[in-house]
Amino acid sequence: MAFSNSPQNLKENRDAPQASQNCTHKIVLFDDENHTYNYVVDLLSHICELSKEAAFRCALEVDLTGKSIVYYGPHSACLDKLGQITSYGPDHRLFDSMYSMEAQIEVF
Amino acid sequence: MEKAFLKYLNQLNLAPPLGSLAELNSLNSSQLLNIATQLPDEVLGTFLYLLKNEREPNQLFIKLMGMHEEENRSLSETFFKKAQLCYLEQPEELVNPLTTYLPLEALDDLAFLSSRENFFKRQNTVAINEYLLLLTGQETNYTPGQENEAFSFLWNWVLSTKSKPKNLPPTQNS
Repeated sequence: MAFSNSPQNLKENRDAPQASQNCTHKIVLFDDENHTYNYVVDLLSHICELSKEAAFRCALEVDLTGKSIVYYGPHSACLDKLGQITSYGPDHRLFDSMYSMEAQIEVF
Repeated sequence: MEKAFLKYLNQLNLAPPLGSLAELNSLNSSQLLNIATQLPDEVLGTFLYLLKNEREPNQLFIKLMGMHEEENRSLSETFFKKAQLCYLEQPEELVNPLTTYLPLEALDDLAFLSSRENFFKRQNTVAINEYLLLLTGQETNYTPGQENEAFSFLWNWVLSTKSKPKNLPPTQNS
């Protein structure tokens, strides 16, 4: 099942995560109960440089489907972004949130 | 809740009468988007929550994207704008995120404060200096790039308030 932000949908989602010829890997963000929509939008705007609208779509996809592709790139760039995502910290809006979100790199 | 919500939806007359969640889930993209864009904002979350728990969450999201069809693009964009306003806090709602999410009473818990270090350092230095002044009564002038120093200041201030001896209640013989 293609994700909404997959390359074949780039024409209609110009500010969605974009793939190019150098993209060999992708980062998949996973849902959990300890982070808000606001957190995901902040995270993706800041680290993956998505527009607020694109970040919100990813947040909704994560909530509804359990995961979303948030970045495409060469492996080294994905590693760097993954490190930033997993060290972004807990969601300050939720008192019980103590950890970052989970994400992983997959071959594109 | 499902029955009550379906009854409510049917009263709104936004779609053919629905007898079950399965029927709601079987609506096509434009029908679903039509309902979602016309629902009152307060119930949008409930609407999506009920649909999310049905069998095919991936299919739901693709329907909300308009099945990537041009004819549904406008409805889909309207839905996402509406959802964004409903789900996200608006910038003008927060005066200073630090005073909202790092109140004085929360600083008793050092583990909690430690977990909020990244959040603290992501704020701009205007908010940081304002927060530290409100909290400690001391004026600070940290500039961008000095977030680590600012957090160290906060941490040390919290530790210093914890290490001060508390006033003991008078004994019966005094």
